Amino acid sequence: MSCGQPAPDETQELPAAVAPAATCVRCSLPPGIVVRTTSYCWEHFHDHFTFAYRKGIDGARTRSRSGRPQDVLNGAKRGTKRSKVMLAFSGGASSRVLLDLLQKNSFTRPDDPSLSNPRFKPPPTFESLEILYVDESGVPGFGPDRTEEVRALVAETPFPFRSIKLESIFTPSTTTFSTSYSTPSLLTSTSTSTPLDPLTSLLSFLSPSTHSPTSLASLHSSLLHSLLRREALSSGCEILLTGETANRVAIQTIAGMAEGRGFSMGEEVGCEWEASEEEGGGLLVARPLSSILLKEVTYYARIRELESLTMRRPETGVEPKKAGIEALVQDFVNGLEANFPSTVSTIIRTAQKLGMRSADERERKVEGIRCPLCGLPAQLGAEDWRKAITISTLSDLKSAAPSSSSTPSLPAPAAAADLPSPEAALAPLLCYSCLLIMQGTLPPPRGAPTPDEEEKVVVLPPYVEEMARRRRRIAEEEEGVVGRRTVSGVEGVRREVEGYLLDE
Amino acid sequence: MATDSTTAASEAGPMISLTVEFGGGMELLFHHQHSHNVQIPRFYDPPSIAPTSSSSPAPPTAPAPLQGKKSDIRYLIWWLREYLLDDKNRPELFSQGETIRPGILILINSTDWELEGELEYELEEGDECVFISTLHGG
Repeated sequence: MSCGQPAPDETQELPAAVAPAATCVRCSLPPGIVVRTTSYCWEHFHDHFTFAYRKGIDGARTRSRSGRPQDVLNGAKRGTKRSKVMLAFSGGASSRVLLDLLQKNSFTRPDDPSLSNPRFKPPPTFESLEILYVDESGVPGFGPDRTEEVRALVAETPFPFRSIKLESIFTPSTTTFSTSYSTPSLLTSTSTSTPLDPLTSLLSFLSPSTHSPTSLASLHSSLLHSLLRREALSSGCEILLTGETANRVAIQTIAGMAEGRGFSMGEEVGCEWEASEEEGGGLLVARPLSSILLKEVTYYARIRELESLTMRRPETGVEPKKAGIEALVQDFVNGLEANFPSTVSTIIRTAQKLGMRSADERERKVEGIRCPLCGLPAQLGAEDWRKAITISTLSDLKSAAPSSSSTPSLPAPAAAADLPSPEAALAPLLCYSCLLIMQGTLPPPRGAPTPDEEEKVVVLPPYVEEMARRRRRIAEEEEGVVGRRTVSGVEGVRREVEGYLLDE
Repeated sequence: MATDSTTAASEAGPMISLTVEFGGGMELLFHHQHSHNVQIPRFYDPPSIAPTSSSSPAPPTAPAPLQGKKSDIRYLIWWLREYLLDDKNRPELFSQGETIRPGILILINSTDWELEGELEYELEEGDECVFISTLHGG
C-alpha cells in the first residue's frame, strides 16, 4: 500500500455556512452587523466593541496604576501617580478609532455629562496622552508629506500632537556607522568624518537594489518601531500604544514565521510586552485592538463618523502579490476569512498562547539578549545556525576571513573609516530574521553589471551601534574581560609576550 | 410570474435608482468620488453576467429587459465593474469572480450584507449600498 499524498476529494463540498441569527444576540431588535457568526444591533455592537477595547487596554491600565514590573516586584507603592502614554498615530482607521476609544473611555473627566453616575468620579486611567505621527515621505514610494492632513484629523481632540520624520532615527549622529553586506560576517565600520545627512542615510538603508521587497519592508518596520520606542522613552512615556487590529496581527504572525521571526513571535503578536528593561527605563508596548477585527473597527469608525486617511502602500511598481511575503499572506488570510469567518481569531488566539521571551527573562532576573537592529529578543548563535543549514560559496568563505583585501571601500564620508576588526562583525549579534535580511541579498538581474562594493555598503542608524556596543560589553563582562588591547604583527606579539618567554 | 414582473416594470419603469458609496480607499477606483447616484436596470438576464462570458466585452449600455431576474447585489457588482470602475483592466481590485474581493465590506441600507443574503439581496428603488475597503490596513 502506498503512503503517498492522498488524492484530493474534489467531490467533497465545503460545509454550508451557518445563517446569521435574525435578531440581535442581546435584544430582540433586528441586527445590523455580524461579527464572526454573532449578530448585533448597532447599539449592542457598540457595547460589545467598547468591552473588547477595555479588555485589550487592561494590561496598559494595570501598568499605569501599578508602575513598572520591577517596582511591583520590589513592593513599591505607586499612589495616585499614573503613566504617560504615547499613541503611535498613522491617520488610518485603526489608530483613529483607538484615539476615540482612549478619549471616551480612558480620559473621561469628572465633569463629563455623559457619566451615568455623577457621584462616582473615576480619575483618568492615564496621566496624559501624546499623539505621535511618523512622516514616512522620505521612504521611496510613500508619496508626499501628509502631516497637515493628520494634524487636521486630531485637531478636535484635547491631546498634544507631534510629528517626526522617519529619517530622524539617524540623529543625533556624530559619526557614520555602516556595514557591508558583501562580507558574510557583516563587518561594520565607524567613520569619524562628516556624517551623512539623515535622509541620505535613510535612503542608503531602505533602497538598496540588492534587497527583496520583503527585506525592505522588514527593515522599514524595524526602523519605525525603534523610532517609536525611542521617542516614547525620551518623552517620559511608560506606555506606547499602537493600533494593530486582529487582522494585522494574524498576518504578521504567519508572515513573521515565514521570515524567521519565530523566536520573538510572542512579543510581536502579544497584547503587550515590556520593550525596555534598562535602568530607569521600562516601556510597555501595548496593542489594545489586537483582538478586534478590522471589520469591527471599520464599522465602529462609520457609526462614530470618524474621519481617517487611506493608507498608501509603497508604490514599488510590482504586482501586489509579488510585493513581499506580507502582501501575499494578506491575500491568503483575507481569502480564507471570506469563507471561514473565524480564521483570523483562530490564528491570533493560537499565537497569543505563545510565551514571551521578555517576561521569561524578567522572571529569571536575567538580562535579555536583544537584536541590535529590530530590538526584539534574539537567540544566540543565529549565525552558526544559518551557516549549518545553508550552502556557502568558496568566494563567500574567502571574503569572510578578515583581511585588508576584503575591506569594502566605503562611500566618501566613510572613506576615512578605521579598519574593521573581527570584533566589529554585526552578524553574530543579529536575530535570525535580521541576519537573513542583511545577508540574503538578491543576485543582480541578468545582463546587469555586478553592483560595486560601494553599493553593498549600508548606513546603519546610531541606535544599532549603541545596542551592538552594549551587547558586546555585556558579553565581555560575562566572560570576565576587563579590557582589550589590539596587537598586530609578529614583533608586536613578541613584545607582548616577552616577559613570559623562557631563555633557551 | 413573468407577467407580474412585466406589469411591475411597466408601472415603475425599467430602471431603479440607487445610492452607492465608497470608502476606505475604494473611492480611488471610482473617479475619486465617495458617493454616486446610479440607475441600473430593474431586471437582468443571469447568463449575460456569468463569469464564463466575462471575456466578451459588456455592451456600451446595460440592457434593461422588462422581465427576468430582479437585479441583486450580484448584478450590482457586475454593473459597477463594467460601467463605473475606472481601470477596466484591473477588475481584480474590486471583484473576484461574481462576488466582491475579500476584504471589502458591504452595507445595504446600514445593515451588514451578510444579514441580507449577500449576493442574493434583491435591490429596491432608493436603496443605499456602501462599499468599504479594509485592504489598506489601518
